[in-house]
Amino acid sequence: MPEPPLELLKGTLDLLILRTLDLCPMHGSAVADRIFQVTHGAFQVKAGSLFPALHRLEQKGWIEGEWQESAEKHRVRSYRLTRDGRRQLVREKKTWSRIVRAMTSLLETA
Amino acid sequence: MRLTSNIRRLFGNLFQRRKVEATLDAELRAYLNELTGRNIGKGMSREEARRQAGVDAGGIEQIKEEVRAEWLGKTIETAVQDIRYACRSLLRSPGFTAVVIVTLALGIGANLTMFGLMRAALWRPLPYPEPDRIVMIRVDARNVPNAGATQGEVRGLRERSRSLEQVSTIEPVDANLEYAGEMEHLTAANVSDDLLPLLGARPALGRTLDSHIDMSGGKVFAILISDELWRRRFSADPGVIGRSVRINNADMRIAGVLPPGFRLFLPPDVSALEQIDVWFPSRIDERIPYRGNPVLARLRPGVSLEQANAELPALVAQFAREHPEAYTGGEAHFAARRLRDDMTRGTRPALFVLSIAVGFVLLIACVNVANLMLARGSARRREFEIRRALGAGSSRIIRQVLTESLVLGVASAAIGLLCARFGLEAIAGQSASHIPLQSRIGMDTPVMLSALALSIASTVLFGLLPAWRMGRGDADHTLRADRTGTMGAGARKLQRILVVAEIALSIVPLACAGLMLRSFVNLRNSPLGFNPTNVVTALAPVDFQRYPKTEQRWALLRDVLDRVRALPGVRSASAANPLPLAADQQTRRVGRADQPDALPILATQQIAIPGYLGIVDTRLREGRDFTADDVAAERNVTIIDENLALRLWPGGAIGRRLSVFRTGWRQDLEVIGVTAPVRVTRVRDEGIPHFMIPEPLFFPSEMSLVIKTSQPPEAMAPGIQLAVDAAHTGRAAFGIRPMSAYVSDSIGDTRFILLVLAAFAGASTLLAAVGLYGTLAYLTAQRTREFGIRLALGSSVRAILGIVFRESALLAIPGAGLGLIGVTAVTGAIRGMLYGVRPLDGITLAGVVGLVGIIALAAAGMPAWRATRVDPQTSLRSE
Repeated sequence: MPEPPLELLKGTLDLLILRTLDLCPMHGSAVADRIFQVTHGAFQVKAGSLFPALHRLEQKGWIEGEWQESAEKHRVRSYRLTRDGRRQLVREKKTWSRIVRAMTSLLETA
Repeated sequence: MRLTSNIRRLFGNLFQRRKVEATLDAELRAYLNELTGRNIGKGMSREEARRQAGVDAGGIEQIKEEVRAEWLGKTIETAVQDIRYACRSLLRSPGFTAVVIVTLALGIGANLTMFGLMRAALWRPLPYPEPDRIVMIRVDARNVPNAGATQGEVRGLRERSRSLEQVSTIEPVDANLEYAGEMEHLTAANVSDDLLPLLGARPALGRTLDSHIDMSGGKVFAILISDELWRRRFSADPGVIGRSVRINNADMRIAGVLPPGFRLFLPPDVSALEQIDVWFPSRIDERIPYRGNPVLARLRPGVSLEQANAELPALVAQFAREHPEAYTGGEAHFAARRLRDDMTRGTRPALFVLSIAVGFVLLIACVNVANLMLARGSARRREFEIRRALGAGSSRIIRQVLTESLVLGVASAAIGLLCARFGLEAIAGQSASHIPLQSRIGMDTPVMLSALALSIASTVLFGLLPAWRMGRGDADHTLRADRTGTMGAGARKLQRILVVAEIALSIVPLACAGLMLRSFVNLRNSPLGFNPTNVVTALAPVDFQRYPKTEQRWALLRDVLDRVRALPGVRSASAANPLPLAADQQTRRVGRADQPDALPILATQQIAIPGYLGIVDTRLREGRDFTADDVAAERNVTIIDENLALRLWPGGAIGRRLSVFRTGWRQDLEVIGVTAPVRVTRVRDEGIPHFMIPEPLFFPSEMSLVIKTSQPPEAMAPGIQLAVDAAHTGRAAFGIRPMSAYVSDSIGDTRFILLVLAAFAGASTLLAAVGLYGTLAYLTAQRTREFGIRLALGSSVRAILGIVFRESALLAIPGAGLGLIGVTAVTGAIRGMLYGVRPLDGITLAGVVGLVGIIALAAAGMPAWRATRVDPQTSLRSE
């Protein structure tokens, strides 16, 4: 039986999206699907948080959206990482590793 | 780039909202379609698939709202929403909005106008390099204040002062240009070499003047001209440099053209016009012993005004040791003052009282608006309580109320700015206002910025109090069945205090305006000693090189007068110099010839020819007028006025001998006539002794024609010019204006202050009336029910009016008392501007208090009267 989905930690969604778009440009639901698959169902991103997050990242200039034809010949708004976004991804990755290290050391010494 | 793409996105969000929204909508719809497609793939029906997709996505509108919250410019958008809401809410009560905006616009407009005026006169830097280092040296000598320096002293200062540099002097003169067959009178000045460099005027074309090259033996070879003259008469031809022109009957080369817009801003006693067309070089010649040269200089770098003033007495003492003969009549005292301070010294009290008055206008406007806001706040309490009940936080409500105030403030400032524009135009266009730097008055960036500051300040002032009162909202009050929306006792008390303040505030400007009005009327009615009605004057100089001898000039003047008398409409004509109340009055030290050692007294001197007294209607009290014989025989005679006669010879002056002194020179004249006192310096100067001597005893440079005629000066001008030209004086006639213009110029400062003060006082009285009416009507309307009950219980209308009047009087009396205290404080400062009226003039004060009292009673009485007309039944049911 699969484990129940995890509650998304505050701020991790941005990192998830940036990391996902680092592979190749994709549209909203593809991003959600991709996160779902890669995390083996641990993170299920709902539209209510997905789209605000995409727009927030776009407003910050880290990703850029443009209309494209999807594989199924539908018009979809596909997002791709910008140069700034790539830099931001590196920064957030570092921050995340520090959190993980900190948490691990805390949990293991306790 | 990050910044540019941010700005692009911000603009997109704010101004291409529809496109951005359409993108969001399409994106979400594509997402829904995709979910629906997947659901169909799972085997659902089309409808079922669509419904399920909607459920999974979780509310499209909600998602959109959350996405919008992420867009840049969210804060701006909320503010825009607030502003739109504020505008709608203000437009719902147009009466309130209009009154507030008009009130604030008047207050702001009046203050901006005054600020523009003060800025030009006091603060805006003079358009010269480092204007704070330019000083005027004021010289008081032999008990004559502001006597001016001698040329020797100017040279001494220039050579010896270690604190001053570019010591220079200027003398306003006339220039007559003969060009293309036409003679034209131009403004001109003799300037020492350093003057134009001191003021930073570098020729735009050609070179500067050098008195060692450009003049010799009193003859001038080269001049500078203004850009305006160059454009007007020489078609802006650059080839004009080095060209010879005929000025004052001599050939001079144009050495250069000054840059456009160069203006001379000097203290009024220099009597130099701002716009000078011709600049003559002048060399300092210490052989000329006379005083009267204004001195300008620049403080050396790093030298303070105090250091300069500490050095000057030592230098004067040196001059006195070296040339004791020049200081026989008493010692000289030198003082350096900054150019700007010297220019504005005389007008500071006027500007002070005007700014006080304008401050009161704004204060009254403030009180009015605060009052209105309070009343509106009470009426809107329910609205805010409902909003609070629906979950609006205090900060949100305060923000809303402040936004409303801001909208009001900005709208008022915009209209106020417009008012100020016209106000400043009107002020700049006032003639003879005696306001220094009047030509520099106008709307500029600082004035507009201060409009912005004023609107924000007023917003804070009027927005904060009601915002705080409403935002606070007390728990007890929440949606209580308080449906009439009456004010609490606290607010009513506050309103009463505001009424008292309003009455007090309106009294001060009104009293000042009243005092100025009485002064102006007194000035208009004061005995001048001459009658300017139906007298036209013209300046008619004579070329001294062409007519060097006294007899020649006398003959010439008679010829001119004969030609003028022959003009149609002329009843009689004569001449004098200077004209009474003209700017260039001559002051001399005089005394009794039989008491040569007595301290001389100062008297104004005027040159006149026979017949002058009759034309200007100066009455002879004793003795006779000059005769042609006096002139022809060059008799040493004089006519003195009663002021001088009574001071020197109380027992009768006819036949006595008057001594007139100039430096190292004295002349005794026989008194042949005594006239009524004549005022020649200013209309308000009474009691200054005056004496007249016949032309041509003292070789005047120019004579003013005085012509008795019923024709207007414009109609006379061409004839006069032709007559003077036909007599071949070698100079053009100019300054053709009615003699009454000199009188009205002389009281121009009082008229100007009166006009501005009256405008301010009118505005403040109007505002106070509106405010009093609004507040008292509101307070009375609150009591409609009470009056209804009283009437129902048998009270008479008179008794009710009595109550209202009594209560209004209780507010008006302390208000008037406070106002009078304010009047005592302020009018003392304008003592110097009043004429024939004391600062605490009973009639004026009674009139002002009476006027304000009537306004207050009318404001209280009208709503009370209306309240009593209401059927008691209706008012009782009005709940």
